[in-house]
Parts: sequence; structure tokens; C-alpha cells
Amino acid sequence: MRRTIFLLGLCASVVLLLPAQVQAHLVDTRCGPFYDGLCHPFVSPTDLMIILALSLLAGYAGPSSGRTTLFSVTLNWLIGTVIGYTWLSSSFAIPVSMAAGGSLLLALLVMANQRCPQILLALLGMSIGLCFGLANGAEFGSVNGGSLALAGNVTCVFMVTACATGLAVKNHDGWKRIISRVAGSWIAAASLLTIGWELRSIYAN
Amino acid sequence: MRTDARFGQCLVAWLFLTLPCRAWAHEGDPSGGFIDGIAHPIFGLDHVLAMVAVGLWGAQLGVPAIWLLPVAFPLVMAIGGFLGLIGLAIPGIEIGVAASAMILGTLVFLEAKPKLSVALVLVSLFAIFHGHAHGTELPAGASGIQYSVGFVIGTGLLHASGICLGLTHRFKWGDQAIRIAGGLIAAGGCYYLLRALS
Repeated sequence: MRRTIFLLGLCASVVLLLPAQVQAHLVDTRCGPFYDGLCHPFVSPTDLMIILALSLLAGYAGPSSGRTTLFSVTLNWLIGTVIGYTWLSSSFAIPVSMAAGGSLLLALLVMANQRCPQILLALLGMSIGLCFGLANGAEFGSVNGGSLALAGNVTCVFMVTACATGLAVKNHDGWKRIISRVAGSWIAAASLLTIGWELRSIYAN
Repeated sequence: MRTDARFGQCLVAWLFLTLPCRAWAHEGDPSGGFIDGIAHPIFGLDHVLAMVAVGLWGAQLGVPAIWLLPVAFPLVMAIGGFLGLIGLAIPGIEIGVAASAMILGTLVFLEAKPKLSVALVLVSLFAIFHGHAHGTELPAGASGIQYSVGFVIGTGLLHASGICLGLTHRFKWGDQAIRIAGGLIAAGGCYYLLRALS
């Protein structure tokens, strides 16, 4: 049984680690690079979905976990983007299927109304912030005004995480919690479809 | 004071309505973007009927079904979509989609109240058919992620419409109207079923 689970896990990891195509373009808001960076997560749904799922999950665990996650995500995102911007080439990217797999798991926990330990949330926040920050920073390296775009990007991550975590902390019962769970269901569904798309493109090639 | 506030609201609404917008002189988005994803479930009447029926039935069943069915449906539908995307064939998909509208419409019309587990299994089964149909129909394009997000949001909005309409069941006229809507949905399902069988 354990062997089967191990093999299944190995197969899933291989699929999730398949290389992704880099989309090194920022949305042009015509308001300058800061706002281009600010809008970037909204046109990169994999980034947005994983941040939302983690923030809602952190909010479920209470104000203290929410605060820890907010700062661990944002600070590590900042560190990641700076490192990525400075040292990484624009070909560096997180495979879409891996990002979608991560948001699927987190969104399922949101949907199931589960509470995670604070330490786990902090670690998840650190790893997600660092990995996605690296990928975003690497993208910004190839555009004009990349450092401003970077600042806008981190600002957006902070705002989205703060809003989603705050809403999940405040709305802990009744209809308001149901809205969070519905959001978890939608994120999980979109993530699963995204993995399907990736697998289809692999089969097509 | 109240009149002033109403006037202000009307003015703001009017200003929004007069904002210029870009003309979209092409139907659909061949690249499979976000808007195309939202439009896909909304412009398929057989899907619309079933998804609105899920919302209506959830509202009739009350708490917790009113939120549990719309939470379960998108995820199970995505499983069906995933199977469709990876090319796993399920026989009788169109019949299943049409039958779902017919059966769900009938259940709304009869105001049936089975056990929650039975309702969940039934809705999940239909969700697989709908998801698979969408999964096989999705256009090949570069923005699969945005399409998927739009597609899930479109489906969720249809459920939300059904739930909002279904909330009128607390009034006598609303209850009657919902049952009539259920009958119409069932009739629509019959039509699509006949078409799928022919």
C-alpha cells in the first residue's frame, strides 16, 4: 500500500515538475511600471489563486496566524523578487502545473474548512513567497522599469493577502464563512482544470 | 436628504453607463481567454438549465444544501473537465447533460426533498457529465489558465442566479414561480434529451 502511494506520489511529482513556458510580459496599464507590476498577479491567475487560497486558510486559523502568514508571504516574496530580478534569467519560471497543484491542495483545505497549525502556515508562506517571488523577479528583469514593477508586484501581494486574510479572520461563521468555502471550491476547480490543460498540451505535443 | 441621495446614486449610475467602451466585433475569443471562459457555460442553454436548477433546488432544500450543492458542483465538474481534457472518454455525455436538466427540473417542480447525501451524489453525478462535456469542447489555446478561471466563475454565477431566484420560495407566489420554472427546465431537458437521442 505504502509502495503504491509512493509510486503515485512520484508520478504526480514528475508530472508537476514538467517545464513551463515563460510568459515574460507585463500587462500594460499605461500608468507606469509600478502599476504594471501591481496588476501583474491579476493576469497571472496561478499567482493569484495560490495567494488567495493560502490567505483564506491562514484567516481560518485566527488573527495571529493571519498576521504571521501575511508577513512571511510578503517579506519572502520581496526577497524572492529582488534575488530573481538581480540574478536570475527571464527563463526561470515555476511550472504551471506545479503552481496549480499547490493551489489545488490549499483550496481543498479551504473548502473543507480546515485549520492548519501556525508554524505550517508560516512555512508555506515562506516557501510560496520565495518561489513565486523568484519567478516574478526573473520576469521583471527583462522589462523596462523592472524595479518599480517589482515594488508594485510586492504591494499587490501584500494588499491581496491582507484583504483575504482579514476577511477570513473576520467572517468566521455563518454565510460569510460559506463565501470563503465557495471561493475555495472555485479555486480548486480552476486549479484542477489548469492541470488538465497542461496535461492536454503535453499529450498534444 | 433622501431624494438628494437617490439623485446622487442615479447620477453616478448614469455616469458609469455613459463611459465609453471598446467594441468587440468578434464572437468569442479563439485564444480561449477569461471572457471566453465565462461565456462558455452561459451560452450553452442545456448547461444553463441544469446549473440554474441546481441553485433553485438548493434553495428549496434549505441549509446546508443551499451552499453545499454549489460548493460541490464546481469541484466535481472540474474532475469531469479534467477527464475530458486528458482525453478519457465517457459514453453518453450529451444524454447525461440533457437528462440532468430534465431530472433536476422535475425535482424542483415536485419540490422533492431527499436526504442530503442523495442530493449530493445526484448533483455530483450530473456535474461529471457537464464538466466532461466542457472539457472536451474547450478550445486549444495559450491561455488555458485564464479560460479555466473564467469558466469556473461563469458556472458559479449561474448557480448564484439560481440560488437568488430560489430564495423567493419563502413567499407563496415565489414558491409557485419556482415550481413552474422547474417544470420549464424539465421540458427544456426533455427537448435536449430527444435531440441527443435522435
